Amino acid sequence: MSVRAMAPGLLLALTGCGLPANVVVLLPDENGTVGEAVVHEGGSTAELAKPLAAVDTGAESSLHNVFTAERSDVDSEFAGALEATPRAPLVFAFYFQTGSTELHPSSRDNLAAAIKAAKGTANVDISVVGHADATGSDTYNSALSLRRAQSVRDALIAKGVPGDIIEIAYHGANNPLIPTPRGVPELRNRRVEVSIR
Amino acid sequence: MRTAWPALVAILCTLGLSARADEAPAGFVKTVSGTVTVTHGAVVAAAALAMPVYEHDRLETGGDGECGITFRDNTRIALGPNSRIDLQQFVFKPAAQYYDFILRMAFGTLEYISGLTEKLAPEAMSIETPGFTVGARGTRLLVRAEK
Repeated sequence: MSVRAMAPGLLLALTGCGLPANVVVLLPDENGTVGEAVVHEGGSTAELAKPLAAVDTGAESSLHNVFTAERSDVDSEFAGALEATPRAPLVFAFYFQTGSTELHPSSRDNLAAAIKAAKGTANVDISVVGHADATGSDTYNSALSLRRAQSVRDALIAKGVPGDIIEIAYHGANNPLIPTPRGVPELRNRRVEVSIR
Repeated sequence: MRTAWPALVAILCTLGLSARADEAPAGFVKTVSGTVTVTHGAVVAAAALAMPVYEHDRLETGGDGECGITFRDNTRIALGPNSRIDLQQFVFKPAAQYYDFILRMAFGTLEYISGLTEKLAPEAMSIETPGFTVGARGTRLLVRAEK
């Protein structure tokens, strides 16, 4: 092979046709959905909304230049970070009877699944987060959502999940899964979410 | 009367700080390999699996280092080699509807996968670098900032 024939390939390898030194790349989520990112630099803004949409953030004018990154460049240049991705948290939802810490029958089987996941995960930490629906006062709902979370935590501990890795939290009627007007009962909002991380 | 103002301001500042402080761990180390340090106040420690990280901590990876953190709000980040990130703000208090999550990346490579803060309070979450700022909406991102 002549030197002349090698040169273009060598040049390519040295300068790279890869990603810019300062860059933001939007990836699809692990479940395939694609979100959005907004990049601000000085007074300009770039919006990324498609898989592998990327922006060179290295120069003033570059934000006007959104491009599509090559998957192979992304995989090689971000190899370290992509290798270190923590596993996705497993989220289990438990639903409750109105005004009560008694599990809805549809949720009883879920407990065994959550316990199995909690025990089968190394270096695990767990959050148990209680919610209430929009019936009742804020004070009542805060207390109820906390009691629901405590009842699920106690059920996990009773089955051998160590209590010191469980964090408990409550939202009251804030952050409903299904937004409703005040006073409307909604099963899907009377819930406890257990995140196994 | 005039001299009372600085004292009052000091008291209000103290109250404000105590109301916003989040003493619980922000998250835990879930993956680590090579040289990775966590700086907590004046203490620098080698990162290890299941180690807690707190608001204001600094994460730094060496040339062979990689590290992944899962936060209390289910946000995940991963750092590639030669990277430095400060957990500049992390407050996750859903009962009080108080959220604040700022990652400050000095240099390196970062993967970010959104969690609950971004879902519940999108404006409370951002990734800052010396040259640019990124806000995400329900997504997975890669960011690289030059040293």
